[in-house]
Amino acid sequence: MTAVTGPERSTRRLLLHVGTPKSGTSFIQTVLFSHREALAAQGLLYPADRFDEQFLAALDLMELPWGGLEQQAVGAWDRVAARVRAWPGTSVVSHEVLARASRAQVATALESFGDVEVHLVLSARDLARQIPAEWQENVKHRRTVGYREFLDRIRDPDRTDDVASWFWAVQEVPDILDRWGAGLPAAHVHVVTVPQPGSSPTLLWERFAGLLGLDPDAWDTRVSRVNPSLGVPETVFLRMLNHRVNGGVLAGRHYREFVREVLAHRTLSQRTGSPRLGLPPDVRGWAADVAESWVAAIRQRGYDVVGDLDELRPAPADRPFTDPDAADTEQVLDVAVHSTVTLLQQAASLRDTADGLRAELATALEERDQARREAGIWLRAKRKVVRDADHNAVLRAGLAGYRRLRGR
Amino acid sequence: MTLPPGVPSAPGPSAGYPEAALAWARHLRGGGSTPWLEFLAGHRLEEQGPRVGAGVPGAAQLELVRLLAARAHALASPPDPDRFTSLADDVFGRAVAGRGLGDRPLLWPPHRTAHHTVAPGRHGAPPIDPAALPVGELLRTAAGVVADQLVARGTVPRPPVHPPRGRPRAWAPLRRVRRYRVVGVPSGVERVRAALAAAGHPDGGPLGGRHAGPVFVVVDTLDELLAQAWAARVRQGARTRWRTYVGGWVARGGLPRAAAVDDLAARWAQRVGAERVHVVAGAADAARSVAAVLGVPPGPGAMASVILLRPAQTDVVRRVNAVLRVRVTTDHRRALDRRLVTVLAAGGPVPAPGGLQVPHRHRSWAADAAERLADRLAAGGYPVHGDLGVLRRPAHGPVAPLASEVLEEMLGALSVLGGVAAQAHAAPGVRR
Repeated sequence: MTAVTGPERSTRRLLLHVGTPKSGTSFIQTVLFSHREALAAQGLLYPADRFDEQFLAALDLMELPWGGLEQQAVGAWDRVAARVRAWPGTSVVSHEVLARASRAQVATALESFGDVEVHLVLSARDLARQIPAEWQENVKHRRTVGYREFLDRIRDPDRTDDVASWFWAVQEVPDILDRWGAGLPAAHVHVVTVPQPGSSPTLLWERFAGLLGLDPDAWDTRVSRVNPSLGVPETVFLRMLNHRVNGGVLAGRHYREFVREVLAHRTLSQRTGSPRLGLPPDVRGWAADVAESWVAAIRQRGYDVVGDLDELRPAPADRPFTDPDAADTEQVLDVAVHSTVTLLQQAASLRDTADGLRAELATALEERDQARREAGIWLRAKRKVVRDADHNAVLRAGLAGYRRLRGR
Repeated sequence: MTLPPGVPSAPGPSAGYPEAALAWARHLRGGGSTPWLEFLAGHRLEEQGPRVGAGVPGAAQLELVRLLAARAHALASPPDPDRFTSLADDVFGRAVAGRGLGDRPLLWPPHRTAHHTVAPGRHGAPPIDPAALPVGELLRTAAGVVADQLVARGTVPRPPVHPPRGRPRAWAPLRRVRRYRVVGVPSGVERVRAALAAAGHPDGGPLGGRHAGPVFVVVDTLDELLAQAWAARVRQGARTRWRTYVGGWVARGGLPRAAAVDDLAARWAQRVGAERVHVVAGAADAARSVAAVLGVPPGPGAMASVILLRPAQTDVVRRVNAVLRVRVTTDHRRALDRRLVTVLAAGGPVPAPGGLQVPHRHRSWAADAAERLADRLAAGGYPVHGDLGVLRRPAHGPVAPLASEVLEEMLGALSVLGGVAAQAHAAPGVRR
């Protein structure tokens, strides 16, 4: 691995991190976003004023609908690209949905950076972890597809199904590298492998930091939010919930807040005692074969590998497979009760907030009415003086004197 | 996208994938419309070599240009070759918008093999005979190009929302002009407005006082009420499909505001009194019923002020809006929509709006909802003209816009916006 940035380099460079999803991208993005000011002081630009700015830029580039969020994305890519072009040092742009870009969109993206030297970064994790994680991601995005059906769909060579076309577009490492890296020198294409379970928790950051020319120990990675995985009964419960809230019952913004954030990310992902999802034995062998072909393709192309390509090969299963399509009812019921409690607490908190706001509003209205009353008394008195001045010489003289004093 | 220079428009005697694909692209760009496999017939094709070529457009872009060329050939006056070439380049260079498969390579017959699962070692979207592409893939590509053309051509000014209201013609004082308001299902409302305005009785006027006129609430089949409510949502920028839209209301257990004509009548009754709210059942005869109540003869009733789209046209707007939502601001999109709607509406003869049925699995829900509407209208104390049973009748159209019709409308709009056709008339014999 060669650091593409550092004090000895002075030209303008861009590290364009295009995925893959579920390979630690949120972790890296949070570290970069949290430290963006300190990084800028060291000559490294992370062009984002809000956490999802680069996500919006990716939606803009690829014209991707995303539950209404795309309407906030108009012009977002051009704004990010303009900041990169204007920055005298190294910039980092990172979002995993960029993995989906077509060749025409890649050409548009690369052209938008002008003469900035582009280095492509793709982080990749083995399929035995990616496939279950992608199914969970589908469920967290309102899909109701079962696990076996999901596995069948992604293995269908036609890939015309929505689930399969998205999965391969963002997970097929050689194809993503084909689309994004075709016009770049192989030395400017960096494949970062995600360490296998049991490795040091900071190893992925160390690999990225090395690529960025940063001292990994100098940055606090505890600020980072991870996109935590769910257990089997938790995912099964969400899938059941989707059946009931889809089709207009719960609006997209409410689903994002209450189901994905409150339930999935903040509550259910904390339940670490549940069985974890893996690949069934018949699919594991196929995944190993696919991984083998990926490793061969990456080796053949001579890209810069940060980590070890062996990490893309699925590790042997360390526990028996738990089938989510035949989940333990007791466990799912427990998740349902836990979720209900959480949502009740949420409802109570919202009620308290609403009551507090109502009380504040009532006070404000009372103060406004009092002020109006007082202003009204004073105004009526002034009007009476003006009216009476028409018939009263003393008042008329007094009013004239007052107006002179006020300069009117 | 500009194709590499020097590419012949026919494959050589022995061709590899990139050469043959680029030759076909050149053939299509020049206005040719030969399908891919037919184009390859009679040539020896190399089995080895890459199946991806630099500068080769995807199967959807290529097939879309072929369909445009076939459509252009079917027109009485062939298009300007330069304009067609320019439009073809726009299509070739256009990324497929939204989700779904990305650019697919063309089926290369020597490589055709069967796989039961995704084969290790084969990367990228699977190749396809472009003639077998799902219509949805072509529509995704075309919607992106239409959006580009709209953005490039700019906006059109907003037309008046209604015809001039309440201003009788100069000779009106010579005879009695009746004042009235008409609300309800847009197809019926526009028919009434146009017919009565043509007869010298534009809608409008005061709601109170001795000159106050009646308020007509035009209702139609529940299918039609819902179809027009969906069309209105699409015009506002919604991406929702017809089936999803109806399914959403079924799940919520209510009706969209635009279809809840019982609430509409009740709101007007609160303002003017139930006795002045007339319920007119059936959009087709609404003008005659209103004219009869007013005691005036109806005019011919050309529908000029508001354009009502066919379901397939509404679906075109929906698909193009999905791209425009992420390209331009909301106000800009609405302005661009006006141009698209004008182009679409100019393509057909007389607009025949509606024609969508509630999907079969929601039929019993629709029957219950129609029953409730009819009961509430009947119980509201309003004068009723026509048979409220019309609400319960299913429409005669399909249960969703037909993909083949949507594609025809999309190709028509693209041809007009690309400058290769004057109007988006359906071209005979280009059905896919």
